[in-house]
Amino acid sequence: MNKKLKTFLNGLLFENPTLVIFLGMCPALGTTSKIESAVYMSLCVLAVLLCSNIIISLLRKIIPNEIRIPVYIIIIATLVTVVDMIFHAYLSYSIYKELGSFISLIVVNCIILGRAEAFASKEENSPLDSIIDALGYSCGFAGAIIIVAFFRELIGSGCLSWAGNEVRIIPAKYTISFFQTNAGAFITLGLLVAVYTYFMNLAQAKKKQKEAKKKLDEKVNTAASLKAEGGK
Amino acid sequence: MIFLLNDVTRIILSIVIVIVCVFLFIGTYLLNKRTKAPEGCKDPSSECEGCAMIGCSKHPQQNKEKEINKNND
Amino acid sequence: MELLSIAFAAMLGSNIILSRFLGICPFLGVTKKTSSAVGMGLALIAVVLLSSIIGYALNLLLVALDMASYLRLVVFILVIASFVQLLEFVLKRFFPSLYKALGVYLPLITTNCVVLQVCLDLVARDYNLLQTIVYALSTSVGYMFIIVTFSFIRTRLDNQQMPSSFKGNAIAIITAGLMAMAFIAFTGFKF
Repeated sequence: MNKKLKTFLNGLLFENPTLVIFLGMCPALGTTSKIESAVYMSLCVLAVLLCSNIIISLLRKIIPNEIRIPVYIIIIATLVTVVDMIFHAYLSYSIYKELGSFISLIVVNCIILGRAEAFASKEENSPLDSIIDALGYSCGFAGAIIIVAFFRELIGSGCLSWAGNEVRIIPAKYTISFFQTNAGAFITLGLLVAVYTYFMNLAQAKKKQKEAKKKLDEKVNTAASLKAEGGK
Repeated sequence: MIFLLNDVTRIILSIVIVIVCVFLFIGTYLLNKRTKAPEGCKDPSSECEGCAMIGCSKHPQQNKEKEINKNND
Repeated sequence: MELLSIAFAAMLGSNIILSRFLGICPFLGVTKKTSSAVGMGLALIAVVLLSSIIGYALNLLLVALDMASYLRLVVFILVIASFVQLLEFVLKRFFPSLYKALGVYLPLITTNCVVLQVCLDLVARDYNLLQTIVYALSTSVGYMFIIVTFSFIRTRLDNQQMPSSFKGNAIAIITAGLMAMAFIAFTGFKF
């Protein structure tokens, strides 16, 4: 149970693909001008990552070690073609046009290949572990890009929209439309990375303090017990 | 050319094309992997501390796995 | 004249990194040293130019057989990847000095968004062969220009004083944003 929780939190917090190890940056900057496209993009990545992790984990003992990278690329390319066609059929035209070629570019997205290489192909990770790992990483990716999209849409255009319905939160003349441009995407993501690194460093520093204190307490205890025995 | 192919022929031909591409890829990959780098070429895996591209064959994680496998054998 | 406008748009106006957000992963990984940025850029020019010609030919074949819509992505990625492997093999055997200079970056280019995107673009915009070559060349030259310029900035960036949570990649992304702001000048202000 503990290992599964740790696997999930690994993808979500400690090795967040967008904010810590910087994989899959292309959709993180390109699809975040509206919250709706960010949500659909993360759904797409979730679908591809889940299926590819399951398939590669089921086949991990059969694939010869020498040719594993070509086999992974073949599996991922087929999955992306299928997911692309499904999305083309069921999404509204404007959203599909906004996502554009970013769905096809998932095939060279480093997250999918990285997880297949580093986790799903290892012998000790069962298919269930691979499913949890895929969920963790896609939730981490989804969280990061939805937060970026939220800020860009809120400050950039002042209203939040979903499927054509708009809710105006900031009056039009107070919006900073810079955040809806390309440069705004870079700057929003950079600031989010800085904020996230700050909180992660804080948490790590606290953890180190606790461990150091524990070690000091242990030392004091053992010294005291030795002294007591020596006294006898 | 479109007129001469009916549905069944097209399905078989597309499967054949994909299989040819797959074998082309695997063939060139193995050919490349088995060729040694030329002399005087510094081994980049020793210098590389590992960027985010885990699919790269020069990533230091690959050598670590080889060592673990050797130890297990 | 139309070729010139394609070249200008691909190189500066809708630049592949700063305007279209493709190829960012090596942008953050390879720009820590200028020599690696130059090597990556040169390797990318070679791969993109030749892959776009191959992609053009493949697209003609697939459209003639009427299988384009579902086979295109798989065939493109497989053929491009095997082409990169073949190029690395040829460099190793026949041009070792060239391999020493830029062969290290070739495996990195297989999973680069730029190569696949150029091939998908020339399909979507229906270019002929000459337009394909001009587009591929100007896109990759624009990419190399941006990463080399960014590496100039980034080598001096790490020594500056800044809050510790900004060090490393966060300040790099913000600096890239400032560069993107500068490049908006090529398309006109439209806030």
